[in-house]
Amino acid sequence: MSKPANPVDHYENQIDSAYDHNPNDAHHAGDHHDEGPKVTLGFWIYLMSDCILFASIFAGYAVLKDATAGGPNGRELFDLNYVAIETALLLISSLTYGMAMISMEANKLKGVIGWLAMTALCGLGFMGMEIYEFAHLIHEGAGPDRSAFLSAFFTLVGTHGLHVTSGLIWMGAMFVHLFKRGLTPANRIRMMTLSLFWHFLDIIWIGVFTIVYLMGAA
Amino acid sequence: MLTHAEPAAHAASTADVSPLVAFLFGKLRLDSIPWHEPIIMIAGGGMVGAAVLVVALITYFKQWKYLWTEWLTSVDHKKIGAMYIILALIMLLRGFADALLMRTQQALASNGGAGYLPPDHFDQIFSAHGVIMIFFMAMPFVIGLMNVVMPLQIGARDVAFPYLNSMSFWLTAAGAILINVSLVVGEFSHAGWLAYPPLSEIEFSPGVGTDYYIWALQISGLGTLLSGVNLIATIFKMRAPGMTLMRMPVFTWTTLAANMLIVAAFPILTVTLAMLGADRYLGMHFFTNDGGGNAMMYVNLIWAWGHPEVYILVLPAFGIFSEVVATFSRKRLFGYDAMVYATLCICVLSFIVWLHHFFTMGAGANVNAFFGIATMIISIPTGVKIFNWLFTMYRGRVRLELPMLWTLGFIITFVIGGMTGVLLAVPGADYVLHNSVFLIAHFHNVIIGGVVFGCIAGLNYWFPKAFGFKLHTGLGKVSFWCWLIGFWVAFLPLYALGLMGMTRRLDFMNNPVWHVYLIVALCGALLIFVGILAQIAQIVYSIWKRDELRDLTGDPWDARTLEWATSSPPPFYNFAVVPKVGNHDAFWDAKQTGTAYVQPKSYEPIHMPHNTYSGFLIGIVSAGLGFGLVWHIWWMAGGALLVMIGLGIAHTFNENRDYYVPAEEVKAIEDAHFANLKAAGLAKAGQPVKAGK
Amino acid sequence: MPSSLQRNIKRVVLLGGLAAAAFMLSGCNMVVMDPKGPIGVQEKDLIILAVLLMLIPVLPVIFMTFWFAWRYRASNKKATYAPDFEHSNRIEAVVWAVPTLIIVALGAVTWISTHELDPRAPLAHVSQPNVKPIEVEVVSLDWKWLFIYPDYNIATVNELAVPVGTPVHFKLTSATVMNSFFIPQIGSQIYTMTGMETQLNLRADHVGAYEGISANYSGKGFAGMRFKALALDDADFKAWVVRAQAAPTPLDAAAYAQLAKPGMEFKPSYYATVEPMLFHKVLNNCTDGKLCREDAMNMAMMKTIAPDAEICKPGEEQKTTNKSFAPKAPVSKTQSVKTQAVAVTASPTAIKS
Repeated sequence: MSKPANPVDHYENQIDSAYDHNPNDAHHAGDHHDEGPKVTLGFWIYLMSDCILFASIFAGYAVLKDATAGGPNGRELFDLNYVAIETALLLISSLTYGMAMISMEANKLKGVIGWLAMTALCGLGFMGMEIYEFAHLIHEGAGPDRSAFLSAFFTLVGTHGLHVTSGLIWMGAMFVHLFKRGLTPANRIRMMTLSLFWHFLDIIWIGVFTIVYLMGAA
Repeated sequence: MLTHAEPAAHAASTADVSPLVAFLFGKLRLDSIPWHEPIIMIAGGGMVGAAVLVVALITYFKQWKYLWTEWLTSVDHKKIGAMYIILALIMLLRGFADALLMRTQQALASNGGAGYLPPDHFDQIFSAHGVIMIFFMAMPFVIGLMNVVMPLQIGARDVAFPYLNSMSFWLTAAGAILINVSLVVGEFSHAGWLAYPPLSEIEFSPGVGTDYYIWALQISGLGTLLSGVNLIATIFKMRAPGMTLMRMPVFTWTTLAANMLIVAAFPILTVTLAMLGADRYLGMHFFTNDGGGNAMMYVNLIWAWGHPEVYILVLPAFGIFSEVVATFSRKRLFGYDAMVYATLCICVLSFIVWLHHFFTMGAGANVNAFFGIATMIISIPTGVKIFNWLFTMYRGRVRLELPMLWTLGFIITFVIGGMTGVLLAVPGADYVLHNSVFLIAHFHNVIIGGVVFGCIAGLNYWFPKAFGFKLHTGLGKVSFWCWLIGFWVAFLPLYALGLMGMTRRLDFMNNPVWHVYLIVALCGALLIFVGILAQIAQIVYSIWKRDELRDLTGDPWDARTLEWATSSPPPFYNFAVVPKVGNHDAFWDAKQTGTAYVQPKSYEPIHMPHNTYSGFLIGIVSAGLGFGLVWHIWWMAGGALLVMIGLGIAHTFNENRDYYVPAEEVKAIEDAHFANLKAAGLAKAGQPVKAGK
Repeated sequence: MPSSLQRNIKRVVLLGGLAAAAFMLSGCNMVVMDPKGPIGVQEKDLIILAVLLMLIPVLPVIFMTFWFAWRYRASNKKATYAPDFEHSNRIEAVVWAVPTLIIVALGAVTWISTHELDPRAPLAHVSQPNVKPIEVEVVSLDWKWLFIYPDYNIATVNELAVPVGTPVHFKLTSATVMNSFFIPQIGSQIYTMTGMETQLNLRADHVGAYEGISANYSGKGFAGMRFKALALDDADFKAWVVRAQAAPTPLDAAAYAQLAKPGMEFKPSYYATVEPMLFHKVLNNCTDGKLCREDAMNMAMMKTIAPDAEICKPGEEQKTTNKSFAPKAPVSKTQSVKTQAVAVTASPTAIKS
């Protein structure tokens, strides 16, 4: 084990002696100001596990993408122009969310609410387009029960859609929080984690767009 | 004629009832309850009777308010941990009842008889046994111990997210409730504990059993995942000042490792079961025989979760043994750094060995050999750990208290289990031993010998910390010897039977030679049962004699880590003053240098979270969600989901989440503790006193 | 088996294996330890060698556990007490090196033996090169085993017969759920899976009747899913084939559909002739005349390779394939499409590893 001669130890002994001064204060401070980093770290850990969730579904899709069982393949089904608009909506929503965060840094509540509303609208538009695409495919007889390929497709895109939907519900609650209490420390933490979530979904979608749509339609 | 399909009663169609009934009850009918099965009715009646008795007792003693405010809505990590362990012990009884039923059936049905269980029922029993023992006995047990101990070991006042912690527990409990409901209402899965498709698909399992399986695991799995996130954040953010990573107690290290595995592995289980559910509910074709499905993908995915799961269970047990062996050898743990690195090695390696669960699927020789050798490599860090425990005893002062007895029993049992495990990792050997009862003996050897022995060692070790009195030694020894001897009597015959060509999951076989071995195995199981009864008797008797077994010092074992630096049971805020750490074995060092047991002159108010009912309600409602989904009662499932989301959002509007414990209240509690210490001759206020020994 | 590994195993067994053998080889009940074919013999030796190798560290550990616990018991004040002894480079080196060396040795054994025992590898290295292996196609059904002998155009249920000393090449699949084909006393098992073809090479060297089982749980009738594996000398085997060929019923489409219904079948039965390409059709899930899985894959492949080409709609395909179940029309139109279009792809039914 490390001996006290270790420089790191020396440094920590200094910290310790700082605590010696007023240990309770030091801890007290910890209780309050650590909330943000704690939540952010916890949320990052959750996002990493969500990443593995999507990775598993991607893996499933990769295994099954040629198992069309006599049914249609991606090339016949996907309309790249339509998906490009969907993608644009989601990317713009990430941008507007970024603007909301900038407004938050500047302490402009109205700006935050406005940009957040734009984000929610883009998100709703994205979900609307996705639901229409699903309905259209099912109507054409290319539903999730048609083939393993379509099962994997609907599950992958649908899981992302479910995440976006949860993000939208969260945004709904966020509006109420912001209207009620403004930019309190708790609401700032919520905005921060929602931001992480929303950008995360954007990154996942870029994977979906590339692997499912671009490579599928090629 | 035998078919895969269930009896008509189980597959009631919605066509022959009024639309209203179909809407209200989905697939659920009165005849979904197996009235004609006496065993199920007796077991179910017993369960319902016990529940009614508990409710009646609580009502009679007017304890509802206490239960509600002190336990159900508690966010205190120690109480949540205790509830996890209570859940584990209850489910141990349920899972062990299944084990006895199986052993009895195989003993009776191996000599020309048909036994007393029809295949339908036998298949559900072995499926339930595996699911319950892994998900609802072993998991809650280790998570419970982590919850009770880890925050105390790092000098924290609670976990990072106390409300989330409560929700995690109640989600796990909801999964357990669903599994127990399946005993009486409908049926449980008969597709084995991992529900391999295509057998678990709707084509071959049209009943609700697999659906119970899916939703019980999905709901409790969510709880486990959230708990993993919580405990990692706790370790990274809430350690006492001075506690660097390499000064953390080894149990905290293994807790960290196990939770990182949880966070990395459980999403795979979620996805796998969701895909199976999509096949069953939405007619998808992930793993079906037709439509391009690929059942081999399920087997790969489920084991990509399943193998790390083994280490999620056994790593915390290794941590427990590390603490116990150092304390009861009254010596520093030998090779702390090696222990940490070995733990992390195992963590990483556990993700690249999953294929050894199905060498016989027909992969090429290179692939099989790679996974076989990767598996063997895990035995290197594991072997190092065992040697380090031995060299901790070397030149120590070994006290054979209960936790140490379990540890010694573990080492001897586990090395044999490890040996047969490495043997099974040789593909050529696995080709003849795969799926045989030799394999059954092997994994019970490591799970009972490793995980269960570890959990019981931890229970005996930390019980006085959690409740303020020791567990009775005599009854504990009875339990230990029954478990240890019972284990070998039960499973040595299975090793032999595996070499005789007996495969697992047989509900009948006509073989007089096997019959003898199976009777011996049944006797072993009965001996273990006596061990479990002694264990329960030990707890009950100790509660009864708690005043004689009382420990007022907070440190009954002369132990080494921070959890022993506070009173037993610890005050709800754990530490009145957060300790500082200069090395691992922080408390031992403090006792040596005389800085332990010094009462500070004044106290500060302490910031603590309020209790909340949100986690409890969300968990309980999630059982309704699962039940609605199982029986296709869509209004119930949808309603429950909405209520859960509503409760979750409503909780974010709860402003009144935390409060300050006034300094006077802290002082009063601490004064009482120091009065006890003084009575024990350990402390004087404001004056350092050297620890005993 | 001429490999040097085998000789080494033999030597180790002779030298050190007596204690283990006394336990493991007691009586003839330990069928895995009393194998009747070369694969099983090699696997038995492998088990013994691996156990002996691992006992090198395991026995000292068990001994040390007792020794240290006794020697350093708290009441023994004579023993050295070193409360801060927590590190020793020498001990650490030993405790890392010993398991590592054992695993290096066992790893080498594993690599070599896994390749020698590869279920797909022909038994050339243990067999007379001039003997042609006998082909058996195995289908697991609910809950019985169907064995098809393409060389003799016969099929049997729950009875497998092979000529003694002749390598047998099995091709296996399942018509329902997963099972595992296993004759413990002959050697390796292998899974049978719907839509997948697995392979296994075995040989029986001693005349006898051995137990065959399914070693992977497959539902209600699983425990009864057993078969007799007969290793017969040449004359008996010829007689057995003749008896099967004299069976009154052919295994045509209707008979197969009847057989495929779930149920336990303890008594063996024989079929004089077999529907052409029956195994192929089971493998491709088209015994009932549906579009064969392989054809569907090929159509999908066609669409990818030549997306604009005129190809048949699935509905039309189905009609064509329907016919293929009639005798004398084994090659469907889709199959001829396949041969033109997809020489590039691996067989979709091959096992993924």
